Amino acid sequence: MSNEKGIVKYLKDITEDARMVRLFFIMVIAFVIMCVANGNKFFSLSNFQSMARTFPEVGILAIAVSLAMLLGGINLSVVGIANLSGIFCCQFIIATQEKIGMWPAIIIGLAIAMVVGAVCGLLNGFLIAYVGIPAMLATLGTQEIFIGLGVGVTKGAAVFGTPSEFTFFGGAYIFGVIPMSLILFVVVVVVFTILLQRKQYGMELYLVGTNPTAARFSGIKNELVILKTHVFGGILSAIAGIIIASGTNSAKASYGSSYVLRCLIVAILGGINPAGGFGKITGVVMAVLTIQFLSSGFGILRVDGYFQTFVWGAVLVGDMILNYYLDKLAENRKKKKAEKEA
Amino acid sequence: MAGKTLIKLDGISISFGGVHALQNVDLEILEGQTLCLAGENGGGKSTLIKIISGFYRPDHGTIEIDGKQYSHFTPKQAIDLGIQVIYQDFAIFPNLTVAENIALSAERLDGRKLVNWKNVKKRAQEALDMINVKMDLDAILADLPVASKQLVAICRSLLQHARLLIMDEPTTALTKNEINSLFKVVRDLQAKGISVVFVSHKLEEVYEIAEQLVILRNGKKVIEGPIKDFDRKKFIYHMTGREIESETFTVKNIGSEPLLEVKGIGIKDLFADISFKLYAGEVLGITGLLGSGRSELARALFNLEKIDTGEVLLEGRKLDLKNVKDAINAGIAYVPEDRLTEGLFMPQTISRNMISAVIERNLNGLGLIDTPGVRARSEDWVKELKVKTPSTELPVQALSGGNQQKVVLAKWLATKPKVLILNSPTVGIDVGAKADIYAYTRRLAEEGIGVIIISDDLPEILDNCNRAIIMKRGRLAGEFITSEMTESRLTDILAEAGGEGGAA
Repeated sequence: MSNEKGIVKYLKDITEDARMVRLFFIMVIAFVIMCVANGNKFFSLSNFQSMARTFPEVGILAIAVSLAMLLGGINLSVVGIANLSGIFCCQFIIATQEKIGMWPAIIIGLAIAMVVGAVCGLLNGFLIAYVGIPAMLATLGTQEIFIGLGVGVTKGAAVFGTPSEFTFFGGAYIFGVIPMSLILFVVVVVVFTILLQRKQYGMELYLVGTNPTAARFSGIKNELVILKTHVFGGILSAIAGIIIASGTNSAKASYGSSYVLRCLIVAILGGINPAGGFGKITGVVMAVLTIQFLSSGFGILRVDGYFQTFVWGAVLVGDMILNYYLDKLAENRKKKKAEKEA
Repeated sequence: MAGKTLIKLDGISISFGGVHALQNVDLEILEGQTLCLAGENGGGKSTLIKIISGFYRPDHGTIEIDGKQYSHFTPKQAIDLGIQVIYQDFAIFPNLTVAENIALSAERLDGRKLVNWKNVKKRAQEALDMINVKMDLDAILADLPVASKQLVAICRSLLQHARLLIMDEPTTALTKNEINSLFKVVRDLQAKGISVVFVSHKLEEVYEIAEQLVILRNGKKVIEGPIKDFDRKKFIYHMTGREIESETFTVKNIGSEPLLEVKGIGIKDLFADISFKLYAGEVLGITGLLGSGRSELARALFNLEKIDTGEVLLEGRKLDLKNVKDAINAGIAYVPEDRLTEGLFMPQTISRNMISAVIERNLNGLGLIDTPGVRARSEDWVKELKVKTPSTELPVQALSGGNQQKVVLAKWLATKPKVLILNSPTVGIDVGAKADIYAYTRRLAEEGIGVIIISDDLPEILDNCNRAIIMKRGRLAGEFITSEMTESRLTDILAEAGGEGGAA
């Protein structure tokens, strides 16, 4: 077992996890159903491209939420951070592009977005780790603060006037085929999978999420782990904010207000345990794809938006019921097998 | 004193996930009998209790109560028939008062829609009178010591017309005095014709309280008989299935310079002016009653609490530790009192638990966790400490208490400590695993580690340490060489006036 290496070992790990296998089948089933229902309209390059442009923003935000959930907490402020970062980024570019040149303005603007995200995350982490406010209340509060700041800075209006080159990060197609946002998403997934599965920080994150007392007794600095996690969450939110702002070539304080709950659905469907300590990025990726297949498929069928919301909920609840019964079935089967042997 | 048969189990078998938890177990409990259920962890004691209380339905076998056979035995029926279980956590409501905890479920049992508060206090007082215990009815449970919580749980059962009281390891968190008063209560109950099933693996207690002894091992009943038929050797043999030799520890190679030197350390309101020396190769005992400051002292040495006064020297150098990580890196390891909440990450794998205190020492050249290395080292520890598990990738919670404790030990040995502090290392674990852990601490001492064992289990201190210090009310109250001390004299010293600690 121990001589298996790298990717083979990793794939084996995910398939060994029964929940991940189920999730994989749910994803495939959603895909097949939508292909059958929509035919060529769903199974086409243009639809794939449009899906690949859409899901990364929710996917990255869902990973940010998942990080907080692995700690046994939550992050309700990801959308607020994303929009605030986008707003500061766009405003800086608009204000400086004529003085310092367009590309320097864009690059500094992106850096500003990331810094804003990190600072917002730092505030979340500080409130949770050092002031001791429960994550749900802390991030509920900061979400309102970030939205309020965004509205204050923009007076509620959308920020327009960024150069068309800015759309590269959310709207461009590499080699004319692959959306840039998809590439950003893949990079985020790879980086955070390594961070969680192979780095000291990741193991500490899982341990603190499982039992903070035992973590403290093990010499782990819980406060630092919480702080880091929320800073990462803030940076991820800022990346999502850049994709959003770039994709629409504008920024707005009220963009994506329904995203928070959608991120929660994706994280939980992806197998992140809300009690902390368990869950993998791979699951979140499969969950966000499943949701995207259903959204696009129903969109092509011109199904009412309310029905789509209903279907997301139904998939989530259905998945939980399925997990419950399949676990029970597996238990019974083991029992029968053991009785036969006895 | 025992009368007619109250409950009779016949050929009970049950399995979980292919593991036989109980196989063809017969059990008979008479009215007014005190029966002790003994056995190592994983032997099937808890499962048997849960079958008697209707919580599990056996795969095979019958349950007969008062001569009537039950096929679908439910928890509700068990309660109606007077079967009451007092679990280790007592299942009390910490935010309610003594009176409410005792009487509310009885009120509910009577089918009342509204609570008669006057009645609640009256009934609670009656229940306390039944076991001759005085307690403030308006006290909030969370503020009371463990022993009182337990008595509250017993009173509650009595009000629900208990005829059979099952106590699952009731003495785990009690001091000697508290155990004595608990046993008095049990004898009073017996005199009232109430049967008691007492689950324990502390030999002294079993001899003191039980009439009948039933020993379970690996889900089978291995022997049953009146307690007087069992001597200690026979008892241990049937419990573990092997002969356990115990000899007292003697120091082999003692260091010339003190390894750890504690000079007048104190924390306000917890303990003060504690000084002692620990030499390499020694096993030093620290004993004292609950609340004497013994655990707080250990936590301070490990830097979980900051000391206000005094200093600690390791190998002659003054320690200036900022946090737990510094203590680990300096070479101090602390096996905490409560392995469930402080020592282990229960749902995580064995290997993860084993490296959790030194993750940074398990990285490869790229700064990534060296997974094959971690697995190999965990497998070595499993072999070294005789942890019973098919794989290091199983969650720790799948193991029995003794094996869990071995995982905690491995986790701390992986830090390569110079000083190993063990706080109550064998609470709630079986005789076999206990012997393994003692043998291992001796070996560590022989290899030149300084070991400190903190415990209120006096035989544990006397058999495994060469020297011990006594703490009382946060102060040093004496030091002795264990070979010059007897258990009864030590008990007297600890029980002397003022011995009981303030906080429990």
